[in-house]
Amino acid sequence: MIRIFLPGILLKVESDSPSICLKPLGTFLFNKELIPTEITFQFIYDITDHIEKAPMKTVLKGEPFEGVDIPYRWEILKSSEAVGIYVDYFEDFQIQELICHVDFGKKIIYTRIVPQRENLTIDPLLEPLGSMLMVILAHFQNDVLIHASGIMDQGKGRLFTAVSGTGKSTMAELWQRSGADIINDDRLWLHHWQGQWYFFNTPMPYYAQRPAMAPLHEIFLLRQSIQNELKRMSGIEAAMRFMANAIQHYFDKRMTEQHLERIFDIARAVPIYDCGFRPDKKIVEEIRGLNELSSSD
Amino acid sequence: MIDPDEFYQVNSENFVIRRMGNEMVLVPLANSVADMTSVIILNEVGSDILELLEEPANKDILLEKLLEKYDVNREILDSDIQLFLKNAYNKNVIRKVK
Repeated sequence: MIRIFLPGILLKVESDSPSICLKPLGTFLFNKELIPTEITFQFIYDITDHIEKAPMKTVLKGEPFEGVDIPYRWEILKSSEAVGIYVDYFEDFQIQELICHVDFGKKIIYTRIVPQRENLTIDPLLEPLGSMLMVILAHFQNDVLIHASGIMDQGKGRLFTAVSGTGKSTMAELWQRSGADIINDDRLWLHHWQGQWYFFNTPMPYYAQRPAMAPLHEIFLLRQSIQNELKRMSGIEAAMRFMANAIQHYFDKRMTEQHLERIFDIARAVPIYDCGFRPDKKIVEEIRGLNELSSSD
Repeated sequence: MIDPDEFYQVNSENFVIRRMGNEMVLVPLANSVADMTSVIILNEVGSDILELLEEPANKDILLEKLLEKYDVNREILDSDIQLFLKNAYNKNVIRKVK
């Protein structure tokens, strides 16, 4: 049995089929908990020769975009007791398609694979199943997954969020060169624990990084600019710009209501800044200077 | 010109509506799926009008209630309310009721 620790969640992963060899790649480092586990899911893999989606119904679906490395189409399914994920892999050498049922009542995640060959070797959080599953589990725990980089600098946890290509990784690298630790430069899991929001890195099959976390002290909404500009934001505009980069597969009104509530909670608790920046170390010093300003108030 | 005999009410089943401080956000729902790209943000007065429209109201009811809260020119407020009702109706945020 393989143990994977997510923020507050333990996945106990095993295969019911001798044809499936579970071999964690990047996820093998997530075998120790950073904070106490609140919920444990049994995560079972098995083989099947065909997939029947009924009685679940498709509530969301997505198609591959041109040039993607692993082309597949996906669906989110729903029944009265469970949420499901269906993936149809177009060109994978091991898997034709899979279906995953997440039963929140029984705390069981059951994934059946239609194989492409006799024996499979897979990471338990193989893409895109792992990423989609984390969005569903994060919502279940009232947490947020977001496209962002995060760093820990001199006791301050800072999150930088933006659309792809705007500078999340560049910003993280600038901080690393200035002595900060990178929690992750692509995707973060925001979890409320002991009265405060924290950000965590997440397991990725092709990204070997030890589990890490930091308290969420400041949020920066990145945009490219010819000069450095930092402006404190407030209210709904700040919350909505922050929410724009959250990863969400929400398919009913209640889910969206809950998502808005936690985004508002973060926006009330954590200062949010609009951050236009040039990619050099001056922005690091300017952001560090924000703390000196606020501590001298 | 909005007809004073026309009553309106918020289309709450088509939106997730949440207030934060003096402002309000509306997230449109299409087949229960949130459209995060078409979020509508209302300022304080807009938020107050929409809250009043949780119950059916016409422009004159809105005007009198808002004049209790805001010390503003009656004609300007009346014009602002009519503009709000027109835009909100066009965006399917409110519907006409009898």
